[in-house]
Amino acid sequence: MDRIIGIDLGTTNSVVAFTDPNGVTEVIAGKDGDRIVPSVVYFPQGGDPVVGTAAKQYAVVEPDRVAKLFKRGMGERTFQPDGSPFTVDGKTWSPEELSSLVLRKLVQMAEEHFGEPVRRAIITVPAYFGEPERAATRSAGELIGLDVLRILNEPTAAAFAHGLEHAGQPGRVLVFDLGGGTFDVTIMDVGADGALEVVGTGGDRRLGGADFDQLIYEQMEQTVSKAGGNLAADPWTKADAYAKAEEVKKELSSLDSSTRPITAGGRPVMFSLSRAEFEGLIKQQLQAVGDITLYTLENADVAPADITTVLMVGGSSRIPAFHTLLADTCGREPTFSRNLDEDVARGAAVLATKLGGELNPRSQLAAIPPPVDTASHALGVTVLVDERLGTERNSIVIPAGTAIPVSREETYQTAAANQKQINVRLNEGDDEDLEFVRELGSSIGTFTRPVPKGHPIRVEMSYTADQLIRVKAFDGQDGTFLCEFEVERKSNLSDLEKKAARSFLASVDVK
Amino acid sequence: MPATKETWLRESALPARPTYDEMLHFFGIPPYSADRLDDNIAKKRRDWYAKTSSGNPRGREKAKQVVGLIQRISEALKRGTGGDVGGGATSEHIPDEVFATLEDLWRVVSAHVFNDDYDAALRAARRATEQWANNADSASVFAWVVSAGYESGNILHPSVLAEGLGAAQVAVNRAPRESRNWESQVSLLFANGRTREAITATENAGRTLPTLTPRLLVQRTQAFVATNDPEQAMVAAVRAVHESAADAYATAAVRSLATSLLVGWLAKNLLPIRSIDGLHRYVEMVGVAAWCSDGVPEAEDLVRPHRMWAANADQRVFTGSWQLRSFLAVLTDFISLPIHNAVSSTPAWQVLLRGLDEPTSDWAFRVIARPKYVQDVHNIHLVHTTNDL
Repeated sequence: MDRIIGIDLGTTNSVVAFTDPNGVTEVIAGKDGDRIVPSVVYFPQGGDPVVGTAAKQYAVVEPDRVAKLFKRGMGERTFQPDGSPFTVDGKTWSPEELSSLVLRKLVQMAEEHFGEPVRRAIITVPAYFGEPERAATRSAGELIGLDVLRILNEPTAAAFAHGLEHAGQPGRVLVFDLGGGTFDVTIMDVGADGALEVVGTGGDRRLGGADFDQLIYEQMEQTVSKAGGNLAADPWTKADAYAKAEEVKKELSSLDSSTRPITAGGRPVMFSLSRAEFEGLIKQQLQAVGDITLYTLENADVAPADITTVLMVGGSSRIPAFHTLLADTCGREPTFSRNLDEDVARGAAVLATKLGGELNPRSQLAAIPPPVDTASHALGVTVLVDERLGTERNSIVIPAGTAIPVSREETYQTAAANQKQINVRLNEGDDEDLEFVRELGSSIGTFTRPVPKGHPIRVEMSYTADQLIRVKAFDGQDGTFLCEFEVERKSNLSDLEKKAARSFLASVDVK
Repeated sequence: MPATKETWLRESALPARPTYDEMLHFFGIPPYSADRLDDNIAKKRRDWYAKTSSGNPRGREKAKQVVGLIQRISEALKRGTGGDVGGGATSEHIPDEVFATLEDLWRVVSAHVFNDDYDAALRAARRATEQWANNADSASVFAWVVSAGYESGNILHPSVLAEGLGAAQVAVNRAPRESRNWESQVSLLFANGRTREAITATENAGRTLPTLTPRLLVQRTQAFVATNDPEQAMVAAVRAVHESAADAYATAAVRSLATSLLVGWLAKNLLPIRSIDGLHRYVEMVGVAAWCSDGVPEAEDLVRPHRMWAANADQRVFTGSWQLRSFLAVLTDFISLPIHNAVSSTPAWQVLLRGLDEPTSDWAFRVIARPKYVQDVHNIHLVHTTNDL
């Protein structure tokens, strides 16, 4: 049986799941029994990389040989906040390569569980990921020979898992996904048949539980400093403090206060934090989350009162301050999925089996249409709006929130007399201001003859279900083809680097 | 409300010391009514926060700065009034401070101001005025805090600024020999929009104090600039530089501030040059600004493009017909050339003015407007090739 697994490749934790043809989903555990695999990679001297809980523990003793939070760098050359590359034993590891090690671990777990090779998967990403980040995620799978069937939005996967369990309850769902590294908020319409349609999405790919850990760590630094110590002086005590900061954060979700001993300069210092103090620390993040949620609702033209279900997903959603925030915003108590940390993978697994065509046609699952995915960011082209001053703007062709696959066209005009060429520049982003959009690609088209100013140009843009973007330009008058291009699904790795990475990864085992 | 991009939502900058009206306008009041202030602040913050996740790193950075500005201004708008100064899940209980001596008070308040904690500084200063009512020193401290808060853009609410001015006036009346009190009073007269009274205050200070402090000298210049009196502004600027020359630390700051005041005014009021008189006034003022900037690199950088434009603005540029010029030149064996050049030339400032007022692609305008210094002083950006859709 050619199984297709669903993978939640998270910033702090990853999960792999599988749905059988009858629609029964299981989250796959490793040999150690853990179903949640920390997205942490440790590179022991002279040994194979270690992924998961064991790697996380090494972060305390050998922090320079441990990579974590690399999902925040997907689509870029490095994940390190200071821009420096992550290098171990002379090899620089890109976020894609590190992610591929985590994927290798998850695939290994699945293969050990089923006793046969697993070659296909659906991988989830934050809804707010743009094209480069999605391309990098796909590339991470391809580096280990995985056929990535689809890149799926995490809130969509979570809502899909939740929708199955509550089939027959139509409404409007707000999925609040606050994980270790990213925050997504998605608004979906749920049909009576369980059909899901995304009507709006927003988020912040640099906001998550790891930031709250950082704030608690900074408080620890102050406490130690007042006791005459310096937490940052020693990499081991620093790493230990970070680990304890995470423990304190988790504990404060159920207790009013938490205390931990921190070692600094060989002496233990007691650190205590109350829930109220913690909420004071994350005041700005709370405001940011509230802002993003309201902004997403506004952009989707949905009033908070129209939300029928608020679904909390992701480990950091356990923090009570966020429940209160959502309850106040939407006027109803949030719903927690039973498996806060696993629902994204479960939803991906369900969709994987559905799309792979292995589903038993008599199963409940078969009757439910797959979720309609949408463009998380608008796609547009650069246009000249003031010839004299050279002012350019982004003209949106496919707005954010448009269901995909989609094909749209717009007509523009030449800017100068006797124009012979056009430069079609494709942008990703919801803003008209070019300062806030990212150029994805461009192509130059040549007219068959010089054309006057104001000559029409037709631009066709399509966004396929495989998240491929194609742009074509035609002479608006006679229909002559001018140029076309596809958004190159380039990761940050060149073809040469990918080839080298593939063969290197094939030569290492992952523990 | 439909999610349309209104002008006030897109505004991303404010002057260093915005007026209360400028701040309200930053948040869309008007056209919205004042009771919409909180909603508009939240909406603008949300919109700009969304941009911090844009795929463009430059855009992300700019958006972060604007979010910070929105936060700072919204807090400054309410600081000292007892209103909510920002989103947050909890509010701290702040214990009342008691000060044993005035030295204690100054130490505590200075530390708060140094740490940009104007909430704490105001609380402490207010507490002191309760502890030592009708006292010149506590009034002086309070006025100083409000003045420092105003000048750093952290205290902007009219009622607090008015309160600060009241305290400054008490301090000046009771301790007229303390220069700090005069400085606070002048600063708070500006803050309260009473600019002409600020000029009078500096004159009164001049009669009371042995000498005007560098700060008072700069404030005097600022007052004349604010009242659109360039002649007096230049006189005051020159005086400020002269009289602070003995203080090595102050002189660079005075030169820098005087230059930026003059350049700020002339850029706003004299450009683009619209007449011969305007040209002469511009050249004169740039000359004074250049003198003030001497020896202070950042001030010299500020005035340099203006010096270049002042030197070139009256240069004549041929704006006639090239073909006719060539024809006449050949016809008259080149005798007509200098005459035709003179007759068909226009001063650069006029060519630029014409080009700015009426959109044109004419050659002469593009030649005049091409140098960076011309574009910088006129705050324009020209592109020299056109392509794209």
